[in-house]
Amino acid sequence: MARRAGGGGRTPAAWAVAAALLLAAAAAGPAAAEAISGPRLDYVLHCMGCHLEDGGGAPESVPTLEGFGRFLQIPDGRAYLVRVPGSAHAPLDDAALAALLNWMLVRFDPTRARAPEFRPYEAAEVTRYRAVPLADADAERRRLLRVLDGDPSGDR
Amino acid sequence: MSRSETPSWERHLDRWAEAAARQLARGLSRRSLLGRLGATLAGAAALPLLPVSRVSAASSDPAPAAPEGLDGPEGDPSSCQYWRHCAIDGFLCSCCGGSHTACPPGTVMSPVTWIGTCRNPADGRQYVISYNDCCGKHLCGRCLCNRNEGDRPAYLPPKSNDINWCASAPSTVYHCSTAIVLGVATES
Amino acid sequence: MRRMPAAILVLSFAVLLPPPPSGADPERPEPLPADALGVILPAPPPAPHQVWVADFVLERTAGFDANDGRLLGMLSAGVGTIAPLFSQARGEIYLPETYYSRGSRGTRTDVVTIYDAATLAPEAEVVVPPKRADVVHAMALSTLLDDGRFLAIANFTPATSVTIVDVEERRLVGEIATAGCHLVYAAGPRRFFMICGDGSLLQVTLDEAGHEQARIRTPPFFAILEDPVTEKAVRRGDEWIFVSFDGLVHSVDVAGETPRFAEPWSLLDEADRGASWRIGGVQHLAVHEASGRLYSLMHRGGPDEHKVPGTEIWVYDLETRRRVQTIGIRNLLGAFLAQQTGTPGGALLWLLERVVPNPGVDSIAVSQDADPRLFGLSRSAGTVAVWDARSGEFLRYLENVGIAPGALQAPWR
Ligand code: HEC
Repeated sequence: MARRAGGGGRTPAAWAVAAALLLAAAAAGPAAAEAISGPRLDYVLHCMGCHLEDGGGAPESVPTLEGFGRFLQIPDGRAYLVRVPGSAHAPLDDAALAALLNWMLVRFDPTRARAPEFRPYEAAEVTRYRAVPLADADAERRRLLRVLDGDPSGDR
Repeated sequence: MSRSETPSWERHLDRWAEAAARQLARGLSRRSLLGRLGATLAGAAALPLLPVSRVSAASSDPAPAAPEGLDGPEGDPSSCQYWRHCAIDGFLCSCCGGSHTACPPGTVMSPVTWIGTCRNPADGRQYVISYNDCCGKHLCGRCLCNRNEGDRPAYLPPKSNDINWCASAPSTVYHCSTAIVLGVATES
Repeated sequence: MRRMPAAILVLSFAVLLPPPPSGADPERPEPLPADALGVILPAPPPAPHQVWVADFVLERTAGFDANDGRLLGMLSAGVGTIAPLFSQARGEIYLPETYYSRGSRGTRTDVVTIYDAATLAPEAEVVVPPKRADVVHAMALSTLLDDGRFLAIANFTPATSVTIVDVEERRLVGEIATAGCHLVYAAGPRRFFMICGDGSLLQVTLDEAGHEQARIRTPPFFAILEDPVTEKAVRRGDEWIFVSFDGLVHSVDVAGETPRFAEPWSLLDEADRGASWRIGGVQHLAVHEASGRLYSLMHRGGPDEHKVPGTEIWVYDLETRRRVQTIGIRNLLGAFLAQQTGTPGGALLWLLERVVPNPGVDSIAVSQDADPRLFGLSRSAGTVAVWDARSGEFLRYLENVGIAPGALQAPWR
């Protein structure tokens, strides 16, 4: 099962470990299932299926959410986090989606989310971004990363 | 996931045997010949009539039998009616060498999946259920179960049980499905 | 031309055979003629009453003649969903297939295999990105655009995209990014659309080389949270007909530059709703294009029972939007059990149909000729019922159509 270690760079062994951990967690004795509510519940119900509990995603297809607050540094990036299909098409109203993204930023990029310049999403802003669908999420992501790396070819 | 086409002979036979018994008792008891024929058929049907792997449990059962598949305090995880299976579509791993929370030996659990909620009739709570598929071996072929509470078409991937969720596993070959409790959904 | 070698083979065997023995015994009839070795039959020519049944456990799709119940031949495919695309003009069948180098593991290869419809033998293949979506029952995982040149395949990794294949030149054209939109529906010779996760459509127009030329994203055309459409739409000319979980008909006209949405109408009236009628089954719609008859698989049940098998087929006139007919569904499990006992007809069938619980029908399809046949598949009984689609008269069963039969197709005109 040789597989290119691209994206998250996860090997089958790592997958097995992840699966084992998941199983261990699932089978871990009688600890009562915890209550999940608020934005975290929205994350678990609508996002975690693809992005996973730790935000790690899947190799080669779902990018890790670790450090994803870097997109907030540029306006298009701020829009991008709302316009990706997972966010834009979530069965949540704009206020709930804003709260969810803010929660995710704190959870997966705590350094940036706690920095003084951090400006949380608001419902009206989400409404605006959501109205403009993304055609090619992957291309937009790569373009934004180039801009963030200071590569002028990222500028349109 | 996903597969719901496999014939569920056992389910039909179970339901048939049950319904036939009732129907025979009700309507056919006078006609002993037909009654005997029915009984013979019931016996025959349980034997090698069936050309295929014996898939049990309820595929697309109209409604879970009351009281929502709860036999004991926990219920029977290898039964389609078990409360956690309220939106599962596939072969139950508990019938395939795994359990309702664990994959069978030698398979790989797909971490990417879809997540829904089911109400546990024992305590009235809404539990968050992750329907991770087990992948890398061919279709288990036992205990096909298709229930669709909250299931949506494939253009809404995070809500679709038709999708083969082995899609991002090392082998996308689907084997069976689990129903793992992640927590209790609580209004804040 | 293609069948020449087979013919030569048959001839050469005939020449090699010894002459028939002389001096025949007057008491005994002449011995049987010897058979030719190595004969392979061609597929019967395409005909409207042929129905194809896909099976994901047997990893095949098989054609049946609904007039006499014969199995005509099959296509063997790889793992996952199997619903071929049929090109009558080119006499070819295209099947997106997934293979692993070690059966269920190893290296994944996705191909579009091109079969000769006259022989059902593979003629060529085009290797495509190993991303093909695997969604059980979905009929919109791939589509052949209207002039039969380009084929579109829906991908899911779980990011969605579309692969375009040129079946005329038998080559991969490329991949088109379609963020948030899934499944593919043909909408012209160079056009297809997809359904997006906000209830809108994405329409993509290709250039002559098969590359994206233009795209249009429509506003949402159905209520995605409250009453989503199923993806099992059927096509009548320029009109794609979607039906929602609650029985609302949403038609999409793809004749113009932009998709146009007709005012939705309901398959159900108040009385139907009061009696809990709703759509059911996994392939719950069929349309006879010439007559404008829409066939809808129905059952009585609660919400979240959109995949429960149908117990009746309701027939609508698309012009008047009225129900014009109701076709009851016989007990296909009774037919299966009777067939298993070796007595497919007669008193036993009569009895079984009444005693065994009726599993209903999961999938329907209709042929497009002037004397159309309606097909209804029970997955659990592995049996297809055939009706006269106009009168609703039951004609026959096709038994043992597979182990896990799924998609039903009546592709030939
Ligand atoms: C069906 C799988 C799936 C689900 C469910 C999903 N996502 Fe995603 N998400 C992706 C993929 C794939 C990408 C990569 C971009 C793309 O191709 O769409 C992504 C990218 C993102 C990104 C950008 C991260 C980056 O580094 O580029 C954000 C933010 C995001 N998703 C938020 C969400 C939120 C919020 C939810 C839940 C409301 C969600 N996603 C649910 C598959 C999913």
